[in-house]
Amino acid sequence: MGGLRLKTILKTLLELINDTDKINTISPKTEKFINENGYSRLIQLIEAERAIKVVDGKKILEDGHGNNITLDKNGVVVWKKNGNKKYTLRRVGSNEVPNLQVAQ
Amino acid sequence: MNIGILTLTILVLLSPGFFFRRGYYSGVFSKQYFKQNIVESILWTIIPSVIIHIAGYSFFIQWDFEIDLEIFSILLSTSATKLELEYAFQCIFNYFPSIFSYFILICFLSFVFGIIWKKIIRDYFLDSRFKVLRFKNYWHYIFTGEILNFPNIPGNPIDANNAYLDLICTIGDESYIYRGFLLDYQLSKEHELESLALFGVKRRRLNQDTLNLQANDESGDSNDLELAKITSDPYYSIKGQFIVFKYHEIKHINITYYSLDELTDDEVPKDLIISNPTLKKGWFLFHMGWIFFFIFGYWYLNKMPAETLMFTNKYVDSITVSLLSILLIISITHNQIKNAYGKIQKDGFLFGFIGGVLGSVFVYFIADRTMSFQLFHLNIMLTLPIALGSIAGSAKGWLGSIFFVLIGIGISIYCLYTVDSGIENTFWRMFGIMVLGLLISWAFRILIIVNNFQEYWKDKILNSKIGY
Repeated sequence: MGGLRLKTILKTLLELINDTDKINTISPKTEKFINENGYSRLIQLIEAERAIKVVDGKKILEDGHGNNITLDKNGVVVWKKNGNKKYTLRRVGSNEVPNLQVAQ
Repeated sequence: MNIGILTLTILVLLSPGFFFRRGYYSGVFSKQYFKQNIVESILWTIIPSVIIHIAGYSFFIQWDFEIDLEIFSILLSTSATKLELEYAFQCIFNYFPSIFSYFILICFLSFVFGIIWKKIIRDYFLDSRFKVLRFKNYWHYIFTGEILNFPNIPGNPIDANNAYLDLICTIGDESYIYRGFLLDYQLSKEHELESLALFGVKRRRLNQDTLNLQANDESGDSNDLELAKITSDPYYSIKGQFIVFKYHEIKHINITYYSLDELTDDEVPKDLIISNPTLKKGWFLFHMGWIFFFIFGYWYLNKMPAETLMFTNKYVDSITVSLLSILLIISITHNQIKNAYGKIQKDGFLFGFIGGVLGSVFVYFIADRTMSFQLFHLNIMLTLPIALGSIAGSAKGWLGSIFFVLIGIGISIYCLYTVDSGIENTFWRMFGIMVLGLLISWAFRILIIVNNFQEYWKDKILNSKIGY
């Protein structure tokens, strides 16, 4: 059990018996994203997602959200950071709309 | 009248239930521990206390001690004389170290069982599915997206890893829309929402839509409301780390769940990285399971004579303990596998389970026909193939199941042939079983790594062929 340390055990115990109803609702993935890219980038992705329009049965992301933010083939917002590293932001339930294509 | 002694006795007897509840209502649901109605208190304190005491009696007390019901009747009586009370306290004092150790042990175990019970309910979304098991912190379900798992509410809660909020607040005569990511929230003692903290907040006047629309109409432009929103964003950012809203100032809350994922086409799969915290946690729990088997088995063989039965006969006894062991193993590993792989292969799980049951029956009949055996060994025989097969199946599909069902059967047969009538070599037998368990866990790990390398190189070769 190489990674197991007394500190980890104590921390886990403290978390288990803690008395608060506090919760950090930011997921670890998002926290990592914010630490690496800043929260303004995250807001930018949210705004891009909210600006997706449907024209003639096709999803379109209006101009003005540049900075390598595009839609992938499933209509999910993608931000290509650099090289082969990219992030996707999807609104839960957004893929439940049937028969929509993405304008290329 | 000795109401005080009566109350104290009841409190001490119910202490395992209190500790069980303390473990059960921990973390984000801890406020519920302090505030419950009578029915809930009975459900989550008295019933666990009774069950734990019965288990405590079966496992710890009955071998060395007897319960003196006369002492109980004195302590629980409101009309006991001083002489009777002195006698009762003298008896307790004589056995104080044993009684004290017993209560410390079962209170600790109750706390642990409370946590395990909560983990089972939370990991399998039983609280979302069944209202009777639901915690009172309703806002937790809303803000984490777990509400999507409630019956009749569409959506997948696993995807919802962030909540983005639009709040309508009134300041003076003006109404504003604030939007931002939910950072934190506080509940009052009555489980009502007290305040919200958002970060990355923007705001605009509620009537700004109308203003934009009017402006566009006057200039003769399109009156498309959506276009107006995009071309002239009325929101402006509020600088600061985060902003706290009092709940009574909020009129409406609109919640959107977002799923943010990082894709790295050319990165080594996460499971290959030994320092992956999820895997570490999974393997830690896996090893804890084996240590539990070792301690439990050692105690069982030493403490319980071969002919002693917990229930009615050796078959019922073995099958019951086996089922509990399987549940334990599956419950501690299921979620870890799910985290590591993203999903559970249900077909593989089913295959492993059925294969394991058949394998166990096979081993069971060999054991029953050929030699005498002790109950714990039989339990292992019944448990291992099923548990290992189903765990491997849930992670790796039916091929993994076959592999581990066979290993489970092998270990079971090993257990079978190490059984003898004495218990002098118990420690070394159990040690052997534990070492084999560790080897299995490592084999399982190696299987994962080999499989990932295969997939990794397969992708690499495929990508190079199509020119990436």
